[in-house]
Amino acid sequence: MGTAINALFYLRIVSLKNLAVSRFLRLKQPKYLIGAVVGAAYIYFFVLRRMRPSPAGPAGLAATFPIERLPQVAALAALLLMVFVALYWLWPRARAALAFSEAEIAFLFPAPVGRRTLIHYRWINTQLRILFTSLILALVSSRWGFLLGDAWIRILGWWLLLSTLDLHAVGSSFVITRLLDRGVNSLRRRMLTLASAAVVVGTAGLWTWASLRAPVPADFADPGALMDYVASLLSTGPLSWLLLPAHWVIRPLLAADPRSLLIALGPALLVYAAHYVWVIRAEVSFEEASIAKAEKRAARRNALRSGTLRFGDTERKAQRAPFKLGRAARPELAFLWKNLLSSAAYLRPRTALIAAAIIVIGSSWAASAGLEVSRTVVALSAMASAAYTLVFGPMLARQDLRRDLPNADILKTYPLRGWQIVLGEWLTPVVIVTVLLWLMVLTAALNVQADGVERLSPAVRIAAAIGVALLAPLVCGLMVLVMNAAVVLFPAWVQASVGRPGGIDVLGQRIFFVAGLFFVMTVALVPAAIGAAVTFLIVQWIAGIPVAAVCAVAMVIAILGVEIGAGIWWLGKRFESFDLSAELRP
Amino acid sequence: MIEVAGLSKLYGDFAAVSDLSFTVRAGEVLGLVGPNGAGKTTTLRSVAGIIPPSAGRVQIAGRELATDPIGAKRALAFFPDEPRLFDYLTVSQHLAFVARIYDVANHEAIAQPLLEEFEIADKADQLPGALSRGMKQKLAIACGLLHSPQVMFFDEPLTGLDPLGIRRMKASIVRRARAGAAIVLSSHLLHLLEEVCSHVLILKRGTKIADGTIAEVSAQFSNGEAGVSLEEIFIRATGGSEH
Repeated sequence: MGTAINALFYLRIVSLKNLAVSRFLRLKQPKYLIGAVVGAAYIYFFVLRRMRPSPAGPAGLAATFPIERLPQVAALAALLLMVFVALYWLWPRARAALAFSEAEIAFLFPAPVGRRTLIHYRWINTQLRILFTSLILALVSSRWGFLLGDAWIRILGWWLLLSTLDLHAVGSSFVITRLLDRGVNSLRRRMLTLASAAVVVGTAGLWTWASLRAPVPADFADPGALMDYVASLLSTGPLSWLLLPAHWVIRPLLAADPRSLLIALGPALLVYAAHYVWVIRAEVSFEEASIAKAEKRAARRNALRSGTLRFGDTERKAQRAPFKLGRAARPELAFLWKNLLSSAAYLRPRTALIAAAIIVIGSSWAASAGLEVSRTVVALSAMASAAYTLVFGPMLARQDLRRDLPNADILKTYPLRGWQIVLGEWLTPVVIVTVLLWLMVLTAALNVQADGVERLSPAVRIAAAIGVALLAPLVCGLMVLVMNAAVVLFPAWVQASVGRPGGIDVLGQRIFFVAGLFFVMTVALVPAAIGAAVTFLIVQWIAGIPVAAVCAVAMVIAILGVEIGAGIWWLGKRFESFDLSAELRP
Repeated sequence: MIEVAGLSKLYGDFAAVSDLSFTVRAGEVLGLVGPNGAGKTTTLRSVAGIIPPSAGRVQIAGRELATDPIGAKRALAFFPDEPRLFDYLTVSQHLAFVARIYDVANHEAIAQPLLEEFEIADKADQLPGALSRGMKQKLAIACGLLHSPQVMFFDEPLTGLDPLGIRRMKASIVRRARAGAAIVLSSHLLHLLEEVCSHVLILKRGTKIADGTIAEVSAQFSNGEAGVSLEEIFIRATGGSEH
């Protein structure tokens, strides 16, 4: 086993060294250098500087957290950990699969490497990731008042906690696999787990009933009193024994100084060692499930790189056409048809109509039932969601040139003008986001409560909703156009920041692009805003506010429409002279 | 060298491979053919010890794969259809890594001729990202040959190679068989099998349809006709469809 482990260490160390060198060398390219500068500045100003302790002493929770509450925090954390561990037994359905890459499987599975060595190798790999996560968590938790130890104590504490959880996940997956092999399906296993949990909770409840006092109103008077009562439940009797291993695992993280850490380390390492022996001695076949997992991960990574990754199930299924594509249909609509087909199956006109019907019927029922508070909450939520969708929707809906760029050579063989291709590609995200926005505007308009506000008469509300509904596709369309322009104008930059191995430089590139997007959007919206303001001022002086509002909206629509039309035409010209192979040449 | 008896591989109720038995002796090259989904890759993965078979015995160079997997694997090499390499190991570091895994002493002396044979010696310090698909395939093959395996399993070995690479690969397989290796080669390229293989095994739906020398299998399906090509034999044996 020693030879194999040596080889695996060699693989890890050399890979890390080469990774660092290649990341450093790519800084020769301006796109990575600028990205690295922006990324480093972001991390310094928004992460590291905020993590530094204030010269005036501990800040935030640390300054206010009462130390005497630490045992209660420990008890609650142990309970939380136990609930988390229970999920490992309840949740999984699949057989045990260890995380290997396709290359690791190709080289290691046919090699003279034993099962235990493979588990050790996976353990070595995981430790590197856990150590990195522990560093991040130690930074994030630096201001949590109940973590009293220095940074290195927090890192060690997080590492022990995460490593033990990781081993528990592997061990539980081995047991689940063995149960599956013996014919115990997921449903039966879940029932067994829930029944065991019920027995434990029931026993603890009976004991509490017999030995402890029942909670009184004073126990709910404030969070501190409630915490005291719950902690007293968790710290005595059967629950305290049950939570003891979780307590041991958590205590190093809560250690205040090296001495208390040393005391806490012994039991925590004992739990860790027990988990290690459990995992290493389990005789369970994990090869096939690991191969399937590696293939799935590789497919996801490729999909991410090509911009075709979809959340949820990655398995593609043939879908019903979103609408009938007639021979006489404009070619731009064929792009909409194609891109909708590659979107989630629920993004269809019929779904939108059903959703609209549900909103109308539901809102009418809520109004007739007098659910005023609920309607206000719904209206406010719809407005907030609409604002969120308007800003982030065009970034997330990428069924346009951002996804189709690798197919640029094929698109250019079509007998179409550049602007037709750009328009066709541009349509899908605009349609999807617009329909979502319309549904939210409809929800808000039907449920907003403004009866007491004289100016917000039903007529004004309807007019405002129509105005927003008319403007939404234009603002969304402008954002989509700007992002498509970025893809065509700076393909190497955009491709470099999508699905490639991350790093501070790639982080910086993404920040740079988002900042650029908002800057360009601001510049593009200024003429429309000025036009609307001037129109409103002039017309309201002549014909009153309602007519002025209509004219202002019309002015915004006209200006944004012209901008989008000109943008699509110009981008089409750029696309016609676009050479992807030359742009992406390193 | 390779003894397979009663090999079966089940995925739930689906039998990917059923009761498969065959033998490949030293110096023989067995061509594994069959329509898509016939169970060729599952067979190769099972006999190479990558996935555990549901039933049956596999012996590699006299060692039982089930009871002595390390000993059996030390004698074999598996070449997948798609070269899967480590992103951050250079060409020479891949070979160094494999040498450590298989405990190959003085591996540089073996690696250099292999790199030259496959024409990637000048790429020794390159990461896989800088290599073409064919070069990656050559590197994967060089890695597999580094420990001088007695038993080799090739899954579509010519995919991605240029004409010269194909010629060298074929010559390399034949040379290694002549040197005493037992080789199993899965491919849809029937002309490759005709040129390289001494024996052929036809699989359909995980079951063996025919097994023997090319002459024996030809005789079985030629209906007395002379000069029937392996392609025609394959179509007759499998019914010309995937199902």
